[in-house]
Amino acid sequence: MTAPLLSAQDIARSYELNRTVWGGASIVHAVSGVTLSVGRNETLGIVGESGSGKSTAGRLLLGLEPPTRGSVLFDGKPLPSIGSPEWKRSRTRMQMIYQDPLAALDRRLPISRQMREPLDIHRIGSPQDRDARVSELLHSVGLSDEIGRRYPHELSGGQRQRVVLARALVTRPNLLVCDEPVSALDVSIQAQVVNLLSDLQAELGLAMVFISHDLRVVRQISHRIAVMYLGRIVEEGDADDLFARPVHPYTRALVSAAPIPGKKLTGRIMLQGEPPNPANQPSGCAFHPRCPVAVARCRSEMPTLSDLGGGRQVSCHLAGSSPSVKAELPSTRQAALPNSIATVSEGTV
Amino acid sequence: MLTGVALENLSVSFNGIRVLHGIDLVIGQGETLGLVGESGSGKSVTWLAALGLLPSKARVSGRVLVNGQNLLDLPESKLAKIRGRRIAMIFQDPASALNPMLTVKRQIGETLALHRGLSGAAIKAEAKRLLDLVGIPDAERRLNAYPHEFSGGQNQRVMIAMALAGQPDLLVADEPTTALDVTIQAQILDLLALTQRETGMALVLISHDLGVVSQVCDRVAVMYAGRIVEEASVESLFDHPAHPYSRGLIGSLPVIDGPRQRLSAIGGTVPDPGKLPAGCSFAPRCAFAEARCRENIPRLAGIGRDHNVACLVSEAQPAAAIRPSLQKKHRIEA
Repeated sequence: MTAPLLSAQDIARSYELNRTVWGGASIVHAVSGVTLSVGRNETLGIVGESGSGKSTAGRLLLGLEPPTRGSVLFDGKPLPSIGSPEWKRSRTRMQMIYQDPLAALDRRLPISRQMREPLDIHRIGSPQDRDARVSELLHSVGLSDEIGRRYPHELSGGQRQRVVLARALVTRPNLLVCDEPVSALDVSIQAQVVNLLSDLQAELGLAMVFISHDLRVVRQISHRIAVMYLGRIVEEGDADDLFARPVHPYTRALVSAAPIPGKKLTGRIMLQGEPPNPANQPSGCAFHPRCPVAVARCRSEMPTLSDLGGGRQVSCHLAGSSPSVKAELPSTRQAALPNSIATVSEGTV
Repeated sequence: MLTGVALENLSVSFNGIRVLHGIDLVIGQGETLGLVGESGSGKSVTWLAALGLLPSKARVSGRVLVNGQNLLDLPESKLAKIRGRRIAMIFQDPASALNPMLTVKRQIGETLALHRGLSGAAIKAEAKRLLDLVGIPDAERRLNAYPHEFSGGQNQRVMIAMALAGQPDLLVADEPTTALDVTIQAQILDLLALTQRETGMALVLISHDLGVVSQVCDRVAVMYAGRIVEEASVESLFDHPAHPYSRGLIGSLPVIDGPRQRLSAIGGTVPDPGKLPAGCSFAPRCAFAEARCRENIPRLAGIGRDHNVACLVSEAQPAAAIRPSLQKKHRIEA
């Protein structure tokens, strides 16, 4: 097995809030103890609700902020310290795409000018080469040179997101982190951008991290998926397998909440309550206050990620202690779900 | 109780540019109707126009019939008695629809005083009941909270409570879950479906996501460039989508189970209302367009039980051979 392009070992990031003059402060653990790796030519999806730490994880992986604990290796080497010349150079190899393309574009610059900017900054190629590269990328995301002469406000939302994507690719990066890249777009335009991202990822052999709260989109694009809850990974596995046979109660609830076209809302696991506040973490398993199958142990003891085989890792007391759970789970997620939860709790209580 | 709300040939233009080209819709008592289309298709404008909520530069024509009265003819004073009372509307972003300076009790109380003539302790009791109804925990204490003290999902619940305060016969929900997390989205849709069943009100759910609409609604109208292009029950729309645009919308929805397929994205974007192509507005993006599609504007016509479509091509070849892959997928699920 070749070494992954990007690997994060037990990274954590916390922020201080409301520091008082007496020195007291509340600490928010946005990300705690996350271990991840992304190979070349692989897309890792990260899903979770608001406040799950998925965006912070993305920024840590890109080296946009330093982890408070742990380290991130890119191409076998630790990420250089932020602001150093090596760090600046490393920006050409890793890029980020955000949710709102209009905010990510400079509205006073024509499209081709701002697409050229990374090449100008990093002094890549001659001016003619740069223009040729911009034009080549515009075409590869399905836009014409004419679009390059326009300003961001003259483009539609889907076109803007294509421009952002093209600009991110202009320096030929090896790693692309996309943070909710299609959430602000209409479903039909979402499909265009999702197809484009899959195509480019495969064509260029990119390592990609795709962060979203939309399970359907994440599954469509990812090879592997990690589910985050309150700063921790609670389940990770192969994209198709994970949502077909979710083991963690949180993943099951997420799968159950995802709309199925043409199906009414019936017989779903409805997750009660709001996503918890990262500044006020519950004891034990962070998910236990919302978990339909929590037992006493979940309130006091934090579960750790354990390997279930087949590339699946789960952090749940109930899944770890009963290896048969996975086999018992029905392959179709319809109807039988509540039963399978009952099976889990009976097997372990 | 109103027997139904009917939009007849509702048209809207801004500065001489038509954005809505004659919408006909009937919503019966207790019915759930979904209105689907991309941004710019006119789904929100339809209801803003019907309720007289558009700015004065908008020219609105046609009829909006409620209890035999045409809302477009009513003076503002009478319209205000129907809006919020008979017909309520909620919007996508609850944080901007709520007043940040007033407590939730004041805001719900306003509707209760205006439309139901309640005062004092009665307002407090009813406001608490409504917050309970929409699932805000500890309602009594939360009455005195301000919008910033609630989460996004809770604010949307407060909006729904405000809309329910007038005991409306019809609730128009415009993208009520778009800004929310998936798990909260499911909660809010569940809440809307539940209150719809409990109160017997009719519900119009506006969304760009067919997947969301199909979870709550019985009937769906698909809009494109200011016209309704297909109208059908949820089942027949998903089993036999007739309009190429509806097929495109269904094909662009990723699914969460079964084999992964490439999404069948619709190329291009919604045309600018000022530069509509001749003939069918969808023709430039349509894979099935023929020469006549660029000349004639198709009219909405029945192709089966309660199934109408405005497409020249699909009239000629009925919906049988459409998207076999999708039908297969349904069979697996069923």
